[in-house]
Amino acid sequence: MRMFLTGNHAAAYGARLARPQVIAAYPITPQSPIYEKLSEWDGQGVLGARMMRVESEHSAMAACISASLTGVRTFTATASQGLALMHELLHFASGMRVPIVLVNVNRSMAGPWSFWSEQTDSLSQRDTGWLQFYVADNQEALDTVIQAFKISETVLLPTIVVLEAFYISHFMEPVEVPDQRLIDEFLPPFEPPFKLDTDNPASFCQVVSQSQYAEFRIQRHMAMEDALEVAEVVDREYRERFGRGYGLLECYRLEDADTVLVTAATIGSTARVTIDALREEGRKVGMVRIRLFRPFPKAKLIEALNHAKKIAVIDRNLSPGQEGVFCEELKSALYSRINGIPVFGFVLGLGGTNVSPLHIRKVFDIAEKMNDAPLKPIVNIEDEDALGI
Amino acid sequence: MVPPNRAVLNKSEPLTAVSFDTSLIFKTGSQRAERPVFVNKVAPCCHACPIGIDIPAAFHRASRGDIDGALRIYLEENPLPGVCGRVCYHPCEAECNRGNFDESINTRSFERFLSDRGQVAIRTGVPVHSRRERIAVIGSGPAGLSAAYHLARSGYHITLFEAKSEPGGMLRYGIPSYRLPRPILDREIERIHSLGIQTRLGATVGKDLGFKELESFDAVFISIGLQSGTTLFETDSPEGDILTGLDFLADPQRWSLEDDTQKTLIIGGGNVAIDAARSLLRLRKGKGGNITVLVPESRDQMPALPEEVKEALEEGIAILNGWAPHRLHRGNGSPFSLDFCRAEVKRDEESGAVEIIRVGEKIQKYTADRIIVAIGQSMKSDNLPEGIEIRQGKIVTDRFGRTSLPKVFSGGDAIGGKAFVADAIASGKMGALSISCFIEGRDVETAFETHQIGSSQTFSFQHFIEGPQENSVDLKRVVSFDQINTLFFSGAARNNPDELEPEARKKTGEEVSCGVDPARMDEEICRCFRCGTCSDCEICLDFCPDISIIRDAQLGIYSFDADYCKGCGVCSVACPRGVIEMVGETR
Ligand SMILES: Cc1cc2nc3c(=O)[nH]c(=O)nc-3n(C[C@H](O)[C@H](O)[C@H](O)COP(=O)(O)OP(=O)(O)OC[C@H]3O[C@@H](n4cnc5c(N)ncnc54)[C@H](O)[C@@H]3O)c2cc1C
Ligand code: SF4
Ligand code: SF4
Repeated sequence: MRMFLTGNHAAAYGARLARPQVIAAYPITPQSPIYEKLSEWDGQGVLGARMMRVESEHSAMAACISASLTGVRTFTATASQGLALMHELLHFASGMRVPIVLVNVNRSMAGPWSFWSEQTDSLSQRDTGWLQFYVADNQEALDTVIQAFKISETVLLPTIVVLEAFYISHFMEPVEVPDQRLIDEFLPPFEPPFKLDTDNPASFCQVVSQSQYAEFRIQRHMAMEDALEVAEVVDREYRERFGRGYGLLECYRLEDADTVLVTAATIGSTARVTIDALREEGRKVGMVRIRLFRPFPKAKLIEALNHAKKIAVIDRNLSPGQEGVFCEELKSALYSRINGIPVFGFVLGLGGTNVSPLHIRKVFDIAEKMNDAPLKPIVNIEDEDALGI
Repeated sequence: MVPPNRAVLNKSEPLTAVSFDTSLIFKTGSQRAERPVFVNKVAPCCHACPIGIDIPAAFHRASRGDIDGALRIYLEENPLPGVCGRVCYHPCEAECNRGNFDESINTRSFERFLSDRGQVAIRTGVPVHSRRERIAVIGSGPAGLSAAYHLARSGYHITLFEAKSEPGGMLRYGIPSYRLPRPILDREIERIHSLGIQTRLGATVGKDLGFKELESFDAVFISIGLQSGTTLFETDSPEGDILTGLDFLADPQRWSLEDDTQKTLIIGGGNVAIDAARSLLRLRKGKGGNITVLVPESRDQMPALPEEVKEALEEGIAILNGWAPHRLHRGNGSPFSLDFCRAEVKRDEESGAVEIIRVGEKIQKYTADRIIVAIGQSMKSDNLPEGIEIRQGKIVTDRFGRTSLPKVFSGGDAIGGKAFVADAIASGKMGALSISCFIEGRDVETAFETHQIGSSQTFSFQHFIEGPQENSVDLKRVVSFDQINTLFFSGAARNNPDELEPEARKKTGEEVSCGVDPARMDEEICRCFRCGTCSDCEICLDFCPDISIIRDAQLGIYSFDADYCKGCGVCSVACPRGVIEMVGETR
């Protein structure tokens, strides 16, 4: 059914279609409408999940982990400070191999207080062992939540699906809401290989020896690597059944592109407009939008960027003292195989400021004019003198 | 699909740490620097009650549906719950912790409820007549009844001497029956008598029989109260047109006051004045047009209980405050003309002594056919044993009720202090303690201090006769409001008793208050925090992260598992009622 939905509600529909049995969450702007929508369905008796109203995000994640350990499908949603509060338990969740799906609405971290879009909250969770998807529109939000359950339950690792604050969470778009019956066929009930069972009592997550710990860490990493392949298979199957698939990367007009923009989330959908315009003007430009951030699809990126002459990255985040995180990750991926392509790192859109088609055009202009990529991130695209062009 | 890496892993390897063994080898108790101590404490209501009743313990029993058990707890300290549940000034409610949360608990109505609904055979488990010593109690008001009751429970032989033809003192001859119905009083006195107390009615000691005749008794307790109403003018007027409130209330029918056209003036602002006015109203079948109460105190200074004043006003009685009598003229036609002046009253909180100060020169004239004077009471000292020390009209005692004479103890209104029923009962209890200690050769001071409740003037008689008990209440510690974890309670309005409508009640003389009905009393029982009394809520058990709270199923008490409790203190924070506290570990 086609509906006119905000990104938050699209994510909530995705969650509901996946038939989770436990949802434990705590409201926070700009995620609250997800929780509210689910509560509304709960109130109407159509949700079919046990909603747990907890006292904090830390408790929400603790509840999700325990619920998931009993073998039930588990969902939660949060944003920003809430995700940060969960941090300790995010490690537990992946370490205990529970396939929880979490929707995080990207919001800038305090202080000072701010509510708008920025990726620092989720990128700070890079090393917690969770898969991370960054989506570009409301439809993708719904579809990715459903895919995430299937991927997570296959590799036994949890997944964060990231929606950008307001650009996705509160904007309305037409969204195709799939038929429940078809989703049920695509996503059968969760069957964990091990679970808490009162008939066969066991305790989980004890102290282990050094070598056992190391073993578990390597296993988790291998499961992450598996996730690359599993995510592709699941996306392909989804496309076959529902006519929509996204790949791990979105490659846009890469054929013979000399200058390629690499970015993530909604900046990617804006960039399509700019690229179309520049192509009209005869400029050889294209884009790679990174959809799966963890595990990082290195091989696919190398393949996609193999023929580029210059790469510009736009990050809506900034790792202080270094650069944008996507840029940094990209460089590390490229370094192992292809050297010598200059990578221009731009940091734009912090605190939810708008990144318009004109900004993106400017990014392409600068990348094309400059010869050597600066060591520092480019944070000001207006001052050409400072850039030496 | 099976993920490729997992396919090559050994399938029998778990993906995360799972143990089918026990983790009991990890004795986390070794990390403990503090340990939880479970000990019941005193609730502020109990601390404020002159009798020291363990109110939360009774609420706890009642919450389990055990009304008889709850009444038994009251009867451990108070022989007259049906009386106190109606006429006590309930200082317990003023100190109730719940008052800081929404509204105080209606403990007085609870006491009445228990006495009306509970059944307790008080003789069971009590060593009646197990001792040979005999004790004489003079006066059967609340002080005498209480002393007799507690001494009888301790095994002594008691003889109660009462001048009047019926026992009860002011409960029968003072407090009107619309506040304290006589069948209730009779029932409570009957229960006290069931302890094998001998009563000699119509026997005025010092007149009908001399103190010499009491010499064979091992001890004497004097609780003769204050039987003479203070007079303002020549009360013994031949016409009987000026009388005291006490005389009137002792037998309202006797004074030909039924005629509601007779202008009647009542002077005084205490319970006696208000009771006299309301009794007169009932004598006049609800016609109160000619009844006026003149009070020297301002409205909020009046010593009468505020609820009595409120009810009197509802019944249409005129109360004029701030006026003191100045001069009386006996006229010809209408018998009296009285001059009043504007007044202020100073009250000494310690002694209760009042000073009336005239304000300004203004004189107000007032005519009346009859006058009732209710301005105080005094003791009849002519019947007392020779040589007993009396000061300011009261028998002198120390704080344990010992008089200047050996073997002679005293209590109640006769020794001064607060002239209330609960205080008289408390003073009878103190007399019983003193006499027991005297006879058994024990030091009363030590006995009192051992069983004293907090820093109050009262003690637990139950603890005194039972001796120290395993896990009994720590009588010295009073639970304050900040020790209550109010997160576990939600707001709920106080349940007040229903009352008869003023129009109806003033004509009949029926009991004004109907009490709180069982359904609403159930709500009130739920409202009580049960400060300091473990209520088996097991919230500690739910919150302990180390599953280290142990319940002794037989004793119904809780302790902690020393092997695993790591002393985090979560239980003590969670406990809604201040029972658990952390103390330094001494290992
Ligand atoms: C009208 C009125 C209303 C009151 N209302 C309240 C109220 O609402 N709430 C409250 O808490 N208090 C109230 N009080 C006060 C309360 O009743 C008294 O403080 C209490 O009764 C005192 O108890 P008692 O045992 O010391 O003396 P009393 O109750 O006075 O009893 C003394 C007894 O000793 C007997 N006696 C005296 N001399 C002798 C003798 N020589 N030999 C044998 N027997 C003797 C008397 O006949 C009497 O029965 C009221 C008092 C009055 C008068
Ligand atoms: S005797 Fe009075 S103070 Fe004591 S509990 Fe009863 S009402 Fe409260
Ligand atoms: S809440 Fe209950 S136990 Fe606590 S002071 Fe009030 S009546 Fe007493």
